[in-house]
Amino acid sequence: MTVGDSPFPLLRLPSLLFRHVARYMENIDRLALSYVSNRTKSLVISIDLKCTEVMIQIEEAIIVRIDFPSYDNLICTFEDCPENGESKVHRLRDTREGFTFHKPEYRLEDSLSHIFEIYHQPNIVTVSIGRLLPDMEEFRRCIKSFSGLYISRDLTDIETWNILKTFKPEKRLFLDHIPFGNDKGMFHEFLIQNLEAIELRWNNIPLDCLLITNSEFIKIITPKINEKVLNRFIKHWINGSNPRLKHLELWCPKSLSEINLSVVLKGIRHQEIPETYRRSFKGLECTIHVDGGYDIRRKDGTVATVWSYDQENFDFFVWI
Amino acid sequence: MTSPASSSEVKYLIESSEGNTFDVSGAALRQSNTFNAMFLNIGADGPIPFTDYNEATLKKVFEYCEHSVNEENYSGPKHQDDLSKWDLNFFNEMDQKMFIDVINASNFLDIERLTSYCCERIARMLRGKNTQEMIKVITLPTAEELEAKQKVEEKKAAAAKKVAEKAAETAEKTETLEELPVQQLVQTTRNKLTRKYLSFSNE
Repeated sequence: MTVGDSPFPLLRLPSLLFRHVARYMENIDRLALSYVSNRTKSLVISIDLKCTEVMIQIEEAIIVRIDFPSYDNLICTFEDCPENGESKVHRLRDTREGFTFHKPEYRLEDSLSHIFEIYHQPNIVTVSIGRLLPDMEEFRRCIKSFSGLYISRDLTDIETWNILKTFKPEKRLFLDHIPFGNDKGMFHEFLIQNLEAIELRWNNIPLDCLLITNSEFIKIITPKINEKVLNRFIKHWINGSNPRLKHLELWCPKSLSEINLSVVLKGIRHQEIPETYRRSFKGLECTIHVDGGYDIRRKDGTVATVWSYDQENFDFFVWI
Repeated sequence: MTSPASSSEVKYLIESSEGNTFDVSGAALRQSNTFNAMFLNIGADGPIPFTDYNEATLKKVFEYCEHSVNEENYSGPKHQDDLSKWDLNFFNEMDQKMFIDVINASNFLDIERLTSYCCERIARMLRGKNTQEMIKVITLPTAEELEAKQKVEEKKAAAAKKVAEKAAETAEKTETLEELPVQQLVQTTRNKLTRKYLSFSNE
């Protein structure tokens, strides 16, 4: 039997053999096969496929990226009218290879649910929102749990606020702008959540907000770093605040502000570490090499290093 | 003759669905995990009945096993491009029915290498196809669909027959024109000429 386009009764093979065939298929072909019928969908589900991460990006088009351990990642694109049930699927590494899937009764939520079923509710799901969908509540319901949320600055304060209320990420929150500026009362409840990481674009960081942020990794992009706020923050940390903190990173473009470490460390007992002494810090995404810095010791004995790179980055590494 | 001995010279008798028997070497048969689980240690008293499969299928399966006796231990499927000429010929010379019978028999006998190659071959057949193309390839009509299709075709044939009969009838009428009475023939010819004249005058 030569390999060709002649019909082949795949669905009449025993389920065991079908699963065997599906295991030899490529990720993109398996996804195409799962759309053929409910039976093929159930059979594809039964082979227990896993992906490492799903990223959903809502911009003009809606893009769903599915990552696999083999790096044979897939991109599903729903054009600006996802209600027509059409999506384009292609490989990340080769946009020419792919297929267009059209099922009028499938809305965006159905397609997402399909993907989540095929890949058995992947643990890491990141949602990036750049515009609102007609029905955000329904969109939220089809994602049972998600680990990361990114909200674009293109949304208004009220829209951002509503999304924060509807979508509560389990691990990571990335906010491109703070809704209602520094109206602390409204924003405090998000800062005190035990998130793994929080990344904010913040024009003027109040000390009390920094002190109540209960995440392990805090990254703030700001046009101006207030050294006095950092000085008081470190003093509070020495006395036991922010006990979960592993890494605080503040970044401001050099043209806007330069960090004066002598002000940051004023009145704080510290030890200067020579630049030739390198330590490796396990960051959120990768390992960071810390050359030198200023060590500070908390009352319970925990050591942290204050480090500044090129005077536009302020890092506070806690060695746990 | 059957024996639990593990020597490769030992031959086992296999019985097919037709009741025919043929012999297969112990080395080839041991590639079947089903055989290993059922007969290897206890031996078989008489022919081993694999009576769910016909002789041609079983012979084809064991032809593969005999060929791969000396191949190194199976360690996952080879890429189809890496298959030997013999392997390619083995697959290419089978028609689809035989291929399906072989994959089913191989699955029952649990011959890992052959089953994997067959499955990989099917996976390759589906490679790069979109959902619509897959539907065309893997969805074969059911008996009901075939029956419905046949009915439609019968209806079409009946309709075509009716049209043909009508056409034949019309042709017959034209042929009988010559047999019309002279007066009627003159009138018919006049009508034709009038139509011709009118068409000229229109131009």
